[in-house]
Amino acid sequence: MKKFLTVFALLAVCLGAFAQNTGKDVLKDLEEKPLDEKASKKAKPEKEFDLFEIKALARMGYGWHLMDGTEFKGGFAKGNTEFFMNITEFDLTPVKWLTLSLGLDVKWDWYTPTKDYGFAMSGDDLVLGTTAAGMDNYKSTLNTAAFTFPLGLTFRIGSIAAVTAGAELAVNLPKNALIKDTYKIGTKSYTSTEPAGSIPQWGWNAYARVTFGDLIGLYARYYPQQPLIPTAPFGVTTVGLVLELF
Amino acid sequence: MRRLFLVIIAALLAAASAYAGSDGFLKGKVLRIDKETVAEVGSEGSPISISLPVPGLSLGGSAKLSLLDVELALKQAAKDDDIAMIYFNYDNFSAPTSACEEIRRYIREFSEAGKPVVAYGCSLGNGPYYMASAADRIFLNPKGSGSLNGLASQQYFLKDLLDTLGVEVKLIRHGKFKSAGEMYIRNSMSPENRQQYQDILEATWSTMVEQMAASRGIEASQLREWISNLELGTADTWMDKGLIDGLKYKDEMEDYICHLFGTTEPDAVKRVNLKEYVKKVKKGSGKKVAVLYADGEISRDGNEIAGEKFAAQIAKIRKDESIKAVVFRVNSPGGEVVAADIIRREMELLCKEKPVVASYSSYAASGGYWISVGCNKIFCDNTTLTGSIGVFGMVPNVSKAASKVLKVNFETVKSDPHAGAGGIFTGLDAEEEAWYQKEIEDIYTNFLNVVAAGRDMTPEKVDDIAQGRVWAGKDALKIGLVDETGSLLDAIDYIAKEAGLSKYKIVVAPEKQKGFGMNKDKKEKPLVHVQDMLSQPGFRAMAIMPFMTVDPENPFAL
Repeated sequence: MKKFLTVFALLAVCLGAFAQNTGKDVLKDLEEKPLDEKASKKAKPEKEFDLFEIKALARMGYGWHLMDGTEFKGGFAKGNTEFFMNITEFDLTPVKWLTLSLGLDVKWDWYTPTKDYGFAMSGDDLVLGTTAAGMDNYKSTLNTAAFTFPLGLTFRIGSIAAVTAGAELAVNLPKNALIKDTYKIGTKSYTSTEPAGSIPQWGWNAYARVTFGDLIGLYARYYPQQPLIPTAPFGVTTVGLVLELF
Repeated sequence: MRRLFLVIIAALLAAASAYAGSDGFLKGKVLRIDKETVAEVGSEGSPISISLPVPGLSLGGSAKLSLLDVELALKQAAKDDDIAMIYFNYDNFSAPTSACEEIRRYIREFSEAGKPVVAYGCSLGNGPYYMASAADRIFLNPKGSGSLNGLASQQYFLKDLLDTLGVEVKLIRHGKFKSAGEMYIRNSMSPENRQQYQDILEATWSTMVEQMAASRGIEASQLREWISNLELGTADTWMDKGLIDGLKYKDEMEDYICHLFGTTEPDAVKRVNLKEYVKKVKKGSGKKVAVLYADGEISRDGNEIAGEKFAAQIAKIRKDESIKAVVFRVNSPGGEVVAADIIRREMELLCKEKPVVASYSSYAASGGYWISVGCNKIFCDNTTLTGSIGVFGMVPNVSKAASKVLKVNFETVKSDPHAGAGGIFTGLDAEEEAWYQKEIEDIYTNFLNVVAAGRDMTPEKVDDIAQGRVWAGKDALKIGLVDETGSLLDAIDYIAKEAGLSKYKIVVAPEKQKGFGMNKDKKEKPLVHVQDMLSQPGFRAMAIMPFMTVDPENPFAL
C-alpha cells in the first residue's frame, strides 16, 4: 500500500509537470527572466527556408587540383586550378535542417606545368627535355570548360554550419579545351594554341562542402577518372574555397 | 520488481522535467496581426487603388483576408512550432462583429495552447477592446485613451418630409416586428421595433461584455457599471481598473517583444504578417468539403446574390461528385422573395443528395434565413442577427410630389380597372391595397411553412417567434431558430464528420473577388433600394431585414 501511494504521488507530480501552460503563464515566466546581455546581443535570426526555392548565382569557388605524375603534355599536369560559378540551383527543403539540391554550374580549369621544359624538334615532333636558365624553353597550359550538374544533400547545424555531400555530372566542352604553347627563344616569346585532343565528353565526381555562417567554406571534389586522360589509374582530388552568394 | 518501479519513476521524472514549462526564451516567429481587414469572403485586392467621386465606391483597393483563411491560419499557428507568439495591433484591425467573435475565440485557443498573445494600440473602444481582451497582455500608449460605451442604433424617419413633398408610401406587411419600411410611414419607432432593437443590442453587447470581463477576471456586472458611469477614458483609468496590463510607447513594445525572445536586437526577432502566413494555410487533402458563400442581398439579377445565377452555382456543387459535404455560409439580410425561393429550392435538392449544414455570419435574416432553413443543422454566432421571418412590400406614389414640386401632371388611361396599379405615378387604391395585402399574407404563410418544415415545428409555433422579429444568435438558439452556436470551422468539422470524412479538403464557392473588381462599400444598408423601386413598376415582395445605423458588420463605428 505504501509503495502504491509513493508511486501514485510521484506520478501525480509528473502529470502536473506535463500540464499545459497557457500563454499567460509563459509570459509571466519570460517577463521575470533576466536577459544574458552578452548572449542577447549575439542572437541572430535563423535563415528562412521555403519548401521549394530556385536560386541564381548561389555560390562560386576557387580550387586546386592535387595531381600526381608528370606534366600533362603527353603526361599529367601539376599545379592546376579551377574556378566554378553556380548558374542556377533548385532546392527542396522539407525541414529547415535538410535540403536536397540540384544545380547547374559552369567551371573552368587551368592546367599548367610546374616548370619550363627545354625542347627540340625531331622532325615535326616536339621533344621535351630539361632546361636551364638562359636556354630556350617551352611551356604549355591547358584550359578547359565544363557545365556541371551537382546533386547534393545539405545538413544544416542551425545557422552555424552546413555540410553538403553529393555527386556531380560534368559535361565537358572539348572544343573549348585549348592548349596554349609558349616558346621562349632567346629574348622573344612565341605563343600558339592548338586543340587539346580528345577530352572526354562526360565525367563525374563526388563532392563535399562545408560552409560556415552561410558565407564561406571549404569544398573538395574527387574525380575517380582523370579528367584529361580517362585511362589513368588514379583520379584527381580538388580542394578549394567556396563563397555563398545567395 | 522494486528496482523496475524506481527506474520507471525516474524515467518519468526525467521526461517531465524536459516538458515542464518553458526553460528558455521564445523560439520561432511572431505572428503579426496588424493593418488587416477581414471580410466574410476575402478579396485579393489590386496593386492600384483609385477612389471615385462616388461615396463608397472604389476601383481596386487593398486585399481583404477571408474569415475562413484567418481561422485556419490561427488554428494552424497554435500547433506550428515555427510560430512562437501573436502580436496584435488592435488599432488597425477591421472585421464584422461575428467575425470578431470567431477570431477572438481562435486567438484564445492559441493562448491556451501555451503560446502568448500580446496586444498593443493607441486607442480603445468597443471593437478594439473586444478583440484586445483576447490577448494575455494588453498594452496601451501612455497618452492613449478610449471608452466602452455600449452599442446604439439610430434610425431616421421620413414621413413628415415625404408628406411635405407629397410622396405617398404604402407599406404592406405581415409581422408586427417587420419594421423595414417604417421609416417611410412613421415619425418614430413603433413599440415593437424599439423592443426588438433593444433586445438585439442587449444580446450582442452582453455577449461582448461577458467575454471581455471573463478574459480580465472581473465580473461582467462590474464592467457594465464602469461603462454606465463613464469611468473609462484616459490610459490611466484603464490601468487603474485592471483592464490593461501596461502603458508603453512603440519602442518600449519592441523592447518587450525582444525580451521575450531573449535578445536586445529587434532584427533578431523574425516576424510574419497574418497576410503572409495565411498563404501557408493548409486546406487539407482528399475528398472535398465545399464552403458555399451567400454574401449580400438577394435579388433576381443583382451583383450580390443573384437568384438564378446563385442557384446554378448550387446545382454545380450538387452535380460535382468530388464534393462530399457542403457548408452553406450565409451573410445576408435577405431580399426579393422570388429570388430567395429559387435558391431555397435548389438548396432543397442539394440537401437530398449531400449533407449540408448552414453557418451564419453577421446576419442570416429574412430571405437569408429563407434560403438556408432547410439545411441539416444551423450554426451561428452569439452576435449573429437572424430571424426576421416576415414579408413586406412598398409602393410609393410620387404623382403629387411631381405635380407640387415639378409642376408635372399625370393622367392614366387604362384598358382594365387596375392596369398600372402599383406604379410610382399611380399608387394603389383601396381594392388594390387589399389585394396586395392578401399577396403578402400568402407569402408570409409560405414563409411560415418553409421554416416549419426546415425546423420541424408547427406553423403556429413559428408564427409565435416570427412576426418579422430579428433575433440575436444566442436568443435564436433558445427559441429553436438555430441549433448550435459555433464558428465556420465548427460547421466544417461537423459536416465532415457527418459525411464520414476523417481527411478532407476545403474548397470555396464562388471564388473570391480578384483584381480590379468594383468594391462596393457595404457599410450602409438601406431598407430597400429606393432607386430600384422607382425604376421598376409594380410590386416586389421583399423579405429583408430592417436597416440599422449601427452596422451589424461593424458596430464599433460609434
